[in-house]
Amino acid sequence: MFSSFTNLMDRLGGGIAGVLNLIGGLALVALIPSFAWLVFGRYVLNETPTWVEQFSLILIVLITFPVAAAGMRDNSHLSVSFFRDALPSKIAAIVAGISYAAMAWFGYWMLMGGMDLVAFNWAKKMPIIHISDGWRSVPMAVCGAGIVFYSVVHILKIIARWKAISKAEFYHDDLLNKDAE
Amino acid sequence: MGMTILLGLFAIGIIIGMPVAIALGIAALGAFFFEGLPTLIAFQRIGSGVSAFSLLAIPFFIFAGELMLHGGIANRLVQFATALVGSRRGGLGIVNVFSSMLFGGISGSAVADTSALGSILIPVMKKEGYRADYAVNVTVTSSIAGIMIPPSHNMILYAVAAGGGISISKLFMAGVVPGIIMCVLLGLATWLVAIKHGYPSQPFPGWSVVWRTAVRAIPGFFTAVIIVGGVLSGVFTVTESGAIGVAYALIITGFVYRELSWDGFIAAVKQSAKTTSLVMLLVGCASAYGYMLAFYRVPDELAYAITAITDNPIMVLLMINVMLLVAGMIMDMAALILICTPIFLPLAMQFGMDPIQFGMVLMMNLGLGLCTPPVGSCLFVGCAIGGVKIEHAVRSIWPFYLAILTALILTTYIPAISLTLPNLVFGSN
Repeated sequence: MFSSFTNLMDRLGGGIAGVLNLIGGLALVALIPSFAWLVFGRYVLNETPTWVEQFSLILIVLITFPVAAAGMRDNSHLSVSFFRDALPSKIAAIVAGISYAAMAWFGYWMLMGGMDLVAFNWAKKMPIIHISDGWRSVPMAVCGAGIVFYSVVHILKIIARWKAISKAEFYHDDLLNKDAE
Repeated sequence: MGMTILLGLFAIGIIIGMPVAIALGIAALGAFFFEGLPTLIAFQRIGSGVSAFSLLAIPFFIFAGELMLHGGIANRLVQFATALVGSRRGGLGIVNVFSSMLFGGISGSAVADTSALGSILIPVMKKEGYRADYAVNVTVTSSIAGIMIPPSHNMILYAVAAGGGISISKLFMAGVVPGIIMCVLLGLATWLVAIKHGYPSQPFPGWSVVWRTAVRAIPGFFTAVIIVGGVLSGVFTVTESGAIGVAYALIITGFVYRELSWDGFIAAVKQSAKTTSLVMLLVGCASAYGYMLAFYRVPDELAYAITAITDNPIMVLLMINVMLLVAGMIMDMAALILICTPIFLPLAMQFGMDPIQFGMVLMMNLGLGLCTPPVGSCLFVGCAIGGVKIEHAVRSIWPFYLAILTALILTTYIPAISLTLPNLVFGSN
């Protein structure tokens, strides 16, 4: 029952990560024509499209925060794991669990901070493109929520795969991807 | 106590395997709580750190590098390098170093360099009778050229971490001579080791082949010319140059070389978005962390601690180098640029080092860290491609480390190596 729930959460997380990566990828691709238009406007039309700067700053937060949240799922963030990897499997898994709990704590504060910034800046308009400045912080709140979600899923997976972890000599993320007993 | 929380939480986060960006964020947040500062400021710092216009060049540089990786540019550069320098003893090793200079200059990424050139050259070198560890060691260490030779997105990170007062054009120019010196020394080490092991040389294919391969490689190489030339001439901003570089790389790899498939393009977009997000989240969290470092006057405290040991500039610079090298061995480059710059730059400047020269010293130190265990992304990638165990590769890598360390010492103690070219091009002010 618990394992099925964990697997369901993991699959849901995979779907969400796909959407977050898609948002980031589209934002990255959108940066190129925006800047191509900026250069064309500046050097050919002699009329710089000033909206590009503000627009691209929105795109960069749309790349950074959603994809960073998705990166929590597959542990693609830069980290130093050799201290933990040297520990016996069970202890390393507990350390990993503590680490995920701390990340969930940070994610919670990022979610709250992001929402506060949205509320704080909602009435302000971004110069030139005249949309609410609060939108700029929405991806940060999404990232915070994503960090909480994926950290909790990792903790659930450690609990669900505890038998496999106990049998292994060393802890490794692959252990969490095996089917739970 | 607050400073202990800031530094201690970060150290604990790293030790337990937390992502570096989040460890920075947690440490900063802990210090904010301890000081009773509004946490909103921490997240404002993270948000403003990410959405800085000067950083927009980073996704473009990363994307251009990925397009080159998937679009056949590396292959053509290797063919050209093989034709030109492959006839020396241990020629393929020297080809490897020379290719890194060319490709690293375009991609600006050491890991992309290791991955692109390693997957082409390591199997060929093994097939020609070179030892696998030699092939891996040459590939891994020469990939640092990608960081030193412009364009390099790490230099943009450094300029931002230094407070934005350093000209990126000057940094780009400053990397050329140290990068070339390092590659020459690596080439020398490669050649000496090749002689020791009696590695073969290739027959010289003739100048017509050199010319033909050069013509095929030139369109790809022109990506770097556009980016660097655009910035140095002042025609484009760094960001615009990056965007034009991406557009040009798309045209070359997709329509001229016709090697960039739709799948390759999607893979390049995915990887670029991922790398960009990792770097930018680091920048954001490092911005909050840097705020608290400044709050606790950590750079001043460090300067005080070091000058209490010695006030001899040679010793101080040596100590900075050792600390950067050790840090580079255990943590990734982008994070360390953002963390170490605000701490060590004021100290280096106090002892007369120019910020541009310090940038080169930082790049070389942290670049070497990419090739050393226990945390060396280039070493890991190179060993994976070569099918060599890390401990086996490291046993024979010392001549190459020595070459880089020699270049590092020269760059540290001879300011002219870094500063002459930018001063010649842009003037000394």
